[in-house]
Amino acid sequence: MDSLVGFVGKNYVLMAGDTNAGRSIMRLKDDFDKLVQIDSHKILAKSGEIGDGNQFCNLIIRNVSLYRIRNETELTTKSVAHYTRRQLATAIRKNPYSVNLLLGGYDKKDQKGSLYYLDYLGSSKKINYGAHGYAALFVGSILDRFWKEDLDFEDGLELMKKCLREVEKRLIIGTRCFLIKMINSDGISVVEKVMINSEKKNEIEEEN
Amino acid sequence: MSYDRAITVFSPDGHLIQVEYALEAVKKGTTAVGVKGKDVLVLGVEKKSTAKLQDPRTVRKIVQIDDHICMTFAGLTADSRILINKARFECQSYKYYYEDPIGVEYITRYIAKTQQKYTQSVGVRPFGVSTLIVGYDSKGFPKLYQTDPSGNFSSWKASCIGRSEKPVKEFLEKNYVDEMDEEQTVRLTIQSLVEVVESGEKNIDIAIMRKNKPIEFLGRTRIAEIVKEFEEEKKRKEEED
Repeated sequence: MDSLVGFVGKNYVLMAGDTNAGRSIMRLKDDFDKLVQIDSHKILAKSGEIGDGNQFCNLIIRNVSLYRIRNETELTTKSVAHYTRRQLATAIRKNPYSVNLLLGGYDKKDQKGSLYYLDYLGSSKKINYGAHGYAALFVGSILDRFWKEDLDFEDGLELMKKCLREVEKRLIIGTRCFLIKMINSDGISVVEKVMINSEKKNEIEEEN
Repeated sequence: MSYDRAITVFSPDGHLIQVEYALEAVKKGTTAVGVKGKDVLVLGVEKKSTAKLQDPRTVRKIVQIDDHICMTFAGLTADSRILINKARFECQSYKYYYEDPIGVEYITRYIAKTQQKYTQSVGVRPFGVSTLIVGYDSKGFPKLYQTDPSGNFSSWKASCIGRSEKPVKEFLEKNYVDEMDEEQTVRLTIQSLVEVVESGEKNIDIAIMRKNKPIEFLGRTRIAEIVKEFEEEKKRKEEED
């Protein structure tokens, strides 16, 4: 099951997704990038059905590009979120896309990052921090406690790793590898590809 | 027999009169020039002189179709808008299906196909537009294509459309050399336009398309500099004679 985590910091947005792609009990790919670039300053993190995710993200990317070419200006994150939501909402009662998304973007005009939570039913909400998948159950409380407004990049990265460590520790399905990306005024950059190994204590030895 | 089924019908001597009239409309439009250099493409357009109260920035003749393809046109501006819109959509549609950026010839074919469709359809008239399309092909070579209202298209080293087509083409045929560098290509484009454009360099727009780089519009001052150099050279030649 996919894990996506994202939150907004001081002039940046940090997003992470696990790099597993699987079907039933089999892991097909362990370097799957779920954080798709929409345009120079926006990422759509996708989770759910892989085929639907590909098709839907492709659709959004192409339409955002078309807007840019036609109007010689880029859409704001808010507009892309609304457009994406509209696509999901019209599809839900016809040919639903089974994708849950986190849209993160940096708007040069406002000089601020923003994050949107979208799900396959066509709901959309602007959030400061959020997650999709099983990760959301574990990560929600951590972010509730430790997220603050205007976190520095170092603090933000530490917080993200804290979240991912918890996911690795508690989620019974092995999700060790995560990809962390950042969006800021310079655009999109890959921060780190994290392999998390929680400490394993040998309790039998200690008892002796 | 109703003669209003289609608007484009054959004449007794085998011409499509409407298409030829469309070509006349193109000949009334402001001039556009395209020149291919060794590894650069330059488009030059004559801008229609804007009325005093009109904002000149809203009249743009050189447009981007995709990140790596540009085009300009001569003829009915409103008709060109439709073609440009269709072309832009097709570029994204191609990328949606094939993940690769569209080829210059592919989009030229598409635009030409669209123009031809409108010469053989019910209740429509042909587009009164000829276009010049520039971009780099998959092998990295610069390509310049021209389409016209009949739906013909061909590749050119240098071409001109619009009202000063004849004199500019003659000028280009005389002065074009293969494998020009960027500076030479820009100068040739400007020179070819300066001769025919009334009121000089203020009404010329030049755009440079380099490989893997976004299109660059040459600044007013630079165009004015180059035009000045031409005029000085001309004076010098006249004095020598």
